[in-house]
Amino acid sequence: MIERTPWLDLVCHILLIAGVVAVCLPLYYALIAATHTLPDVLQVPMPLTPGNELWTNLKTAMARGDLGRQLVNSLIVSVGVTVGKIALSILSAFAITYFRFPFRMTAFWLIFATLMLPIEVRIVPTYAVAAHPLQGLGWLLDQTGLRGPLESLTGWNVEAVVKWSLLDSYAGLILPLMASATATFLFRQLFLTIPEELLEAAKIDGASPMRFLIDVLWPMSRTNVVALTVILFVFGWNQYLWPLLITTEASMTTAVIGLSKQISAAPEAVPKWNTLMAGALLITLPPVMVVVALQRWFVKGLVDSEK
Amino acid sequence: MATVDIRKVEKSYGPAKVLHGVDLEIRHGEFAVILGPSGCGKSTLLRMIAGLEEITGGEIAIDGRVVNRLEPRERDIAMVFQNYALYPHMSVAENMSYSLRIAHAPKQTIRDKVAGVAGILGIGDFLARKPTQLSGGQRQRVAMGRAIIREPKVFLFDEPLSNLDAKLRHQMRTELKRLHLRLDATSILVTHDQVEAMSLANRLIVMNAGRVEQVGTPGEVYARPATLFVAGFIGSLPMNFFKGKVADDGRSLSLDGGAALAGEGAQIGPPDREVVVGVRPDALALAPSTAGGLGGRVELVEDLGSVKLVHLDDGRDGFVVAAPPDTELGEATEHGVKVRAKDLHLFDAASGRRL
Amino acid sequence: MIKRVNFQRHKPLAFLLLAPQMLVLAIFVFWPAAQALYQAFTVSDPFGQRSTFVWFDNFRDVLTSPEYFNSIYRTAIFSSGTTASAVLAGLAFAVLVDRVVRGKSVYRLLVIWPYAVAPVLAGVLWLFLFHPIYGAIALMLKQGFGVAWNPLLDGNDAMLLVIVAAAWKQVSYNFVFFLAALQAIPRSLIEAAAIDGAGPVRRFVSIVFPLISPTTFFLLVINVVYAFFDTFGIIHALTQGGPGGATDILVYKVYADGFLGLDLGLSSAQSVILMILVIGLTAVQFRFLERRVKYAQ
Repeated sequence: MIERTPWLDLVCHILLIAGVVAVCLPLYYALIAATHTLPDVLQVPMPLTPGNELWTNLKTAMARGDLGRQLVNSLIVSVGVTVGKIALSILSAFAITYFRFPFRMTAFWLIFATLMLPIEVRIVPTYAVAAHPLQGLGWLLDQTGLRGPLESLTGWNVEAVVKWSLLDSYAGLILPLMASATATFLFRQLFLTIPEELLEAAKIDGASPMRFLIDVLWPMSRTNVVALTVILFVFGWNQYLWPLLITTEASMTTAVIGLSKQISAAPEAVPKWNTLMAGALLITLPPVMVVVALQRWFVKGLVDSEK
Repeated sequence: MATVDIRKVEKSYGPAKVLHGVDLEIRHGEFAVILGPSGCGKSTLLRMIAGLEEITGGEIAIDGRVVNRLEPRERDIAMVFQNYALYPHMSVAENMSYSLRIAHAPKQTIRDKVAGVAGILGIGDFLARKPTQLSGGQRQRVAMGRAIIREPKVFLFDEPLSNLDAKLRHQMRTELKRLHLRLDATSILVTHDQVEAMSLANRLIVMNAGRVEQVGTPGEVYARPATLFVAGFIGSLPMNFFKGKVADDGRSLSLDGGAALAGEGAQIGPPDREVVVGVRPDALALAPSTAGGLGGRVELVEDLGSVKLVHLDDGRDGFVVAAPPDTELGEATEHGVKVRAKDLHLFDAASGRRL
Repeated sequence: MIKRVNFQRHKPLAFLLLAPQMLVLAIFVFWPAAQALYQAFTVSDPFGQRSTFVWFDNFRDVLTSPEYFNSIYRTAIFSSGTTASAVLAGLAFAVLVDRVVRGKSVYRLLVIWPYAVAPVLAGVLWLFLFHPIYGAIALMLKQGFGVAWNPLLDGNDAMLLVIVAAAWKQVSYNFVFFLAALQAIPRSLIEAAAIDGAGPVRRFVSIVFPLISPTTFFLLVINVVYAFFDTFGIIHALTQGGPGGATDILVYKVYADGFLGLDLGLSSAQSVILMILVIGLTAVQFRFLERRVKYAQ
């Protein structure tokens, strides 16, 4: 401290406590609602202290609308998106920083351009593509007149291939979210700070490109990978728009979508707030735990991915 | 071990030419040191030998085999980098054995070799440590260990000692020399530090602006610098230079500014030629001031303990005399200097070549 | 930028390394984006079988429709409200946490965690507090201040609810960046100002705030982008653009016109307008980034 200002310090603490209470208020209310029976929750005013119905409500929440299955789906999607994004972006960043080849800058700018095409602005055609990702292939075959020869030559049923759909599948949930300009740039930035001499030493030691990537670059990127994992896991877990469109069956959707559908399912009827809130807590717990447990990495990841 | 032959090697980056046809022959077992100021192309040359830079023109052969199109690992060389380039996430043992592991050497062989090399370098106690846990000198040894373990034909050193402090540099210098003798290897070292160069080299190669200026033993290069550049670059005290002209009979010199130097009867240079005369400060001795002789007024004195450097103002560029430590001088007094004819280095004023 | 020394003899490998990312981009980003561009200039019949090229008709329809102007207006209110409150709250938390000595890490944790909550669930949590019948805050407003609060019927109340929910989620992000910026200020500067006789408030206004202004500007851009594109879930779960279009922000309207209204041409034209908007925002962001790089040097 530069000077002693006990009064100012006290004011700071009071303001902070007030602010933190405001930030945590929704969580506290959710917790209270999740620990009472529905009639108790609907009392006016609602009880201000937790009850003892948490376990019952959690069980009911798990039983309703396939939540257990949906939590597993959420885990698969967020892990899939995280691993996929990191793998794709580290390979691309390696290619554009350590190789000289034609169209290197084109590739760089193509990846850059995706920053300007968030899924929200191209949602309808992206959905159409995901519904039939190979339709473009069929169109191409028709245009070039190759469909007939291909079918008779190989005996493949092109129509079946073209009609292949990603709706209600893990691939459909994960693949379209796997490209990442931000992560690619993060790794590119990191690689550019790695001393040139390390590659030279590795070359003299006889390392091939892939060995260099696996033995030197990957271990040296570890802290960034951990930081990025925290951010991407939360990103994947909390996806909304895309899973909402690509899944129709309750058993294939994510927990976030499942719960929000329960709320909007019966707008006139009184929502079962106690089990809803129990469900909300269950769904929020994994990403919050990740952020809280890996706070340092989370902050690093957040700051890194904006450079 | 091996020879390294460099024939008419050129290097350009686009239109910028950094090496203008270098010819060198490095013999088996030699410790060749390439010395030059920064930007003279010495590191580029070394990196071309290593295979880290494309060769624009000419040929490099290691042990008789042209290596222009070979990858670094196929050239049978090892390199020690200025900043050591140790893999930060690997232990000392892993750093040293990386090349062997890539080559799939048997585990037992790797262990024996690591232990052997660590013994030679005295780093056996830190094999499990990471590079960040080591001091500068220890890192330097690990970098050398990584090179030695491969038993290459040629060792390449790129300014290996310049990241160390003065005391450690001296110690590692002698160790490097001892190691070279023990391994009986061909070594090429690049440096801008002439003390390092003189003390390590069997053969000294002085480079400037993409060209080789002189090749010889350190003694030869010091005693008979081939060009003005070498004369100015070699020697811990900078050489004094005077512009002048050789007399018609070739037996005396008249310097710009009027002073004259006599050749003591012998021929000192081609008659009637514009020259630059170089004299090392320690070849000059203070003497009473004489009319028509070389001399000047004392401008300042640096007392270095073992020697006193006397800066004399001769009304032109000034020059320096290395006087014995017990010399007593009055402030701003006039002094003359004596010099023997054999200590004069004469260079052609136009080409800068030794006469 | 490329490494000086590189693997220039391994060109095929480079293409192989890039292939997965490029494939995903081509199929799920560029192809759909091209389709959106194409559809923005066409009109399809109701069965989606045939389409006619109509030049800028879709854009004209969009830009002359009162609903679209309402949407622009609502987006402006929503994003400025969300940005202003999230940035201010983030700054306040950062300044306070930076100042206190005791309990720093506890405060930090309690401010950071909402980042991990899904936007939809953030909406649900706040809806529960603000629910007209049994929401605790709604009740307090009614009984304490006589405010008849009902976000399900009143447009302004609905807007306020979505702003609160959206801003609440973004405070932690702003907090993290502001705190990092504050901690990067050299202590010697603050000490020099204190020796010059500046008190804590004066120091903040004349020294600290100017030094963190690049961060502030950066966060303003990021928050606007967030409010534009990442808040779909909140709107969709809480208000569905209602009541009466009061929270019908642009991103929600693209979705509603395309998926609920099934008017591809109209929806695509809006997509293209949004793309232009993102390009503009990205440009601003990168102009700023260049500046920030200069600050760092």
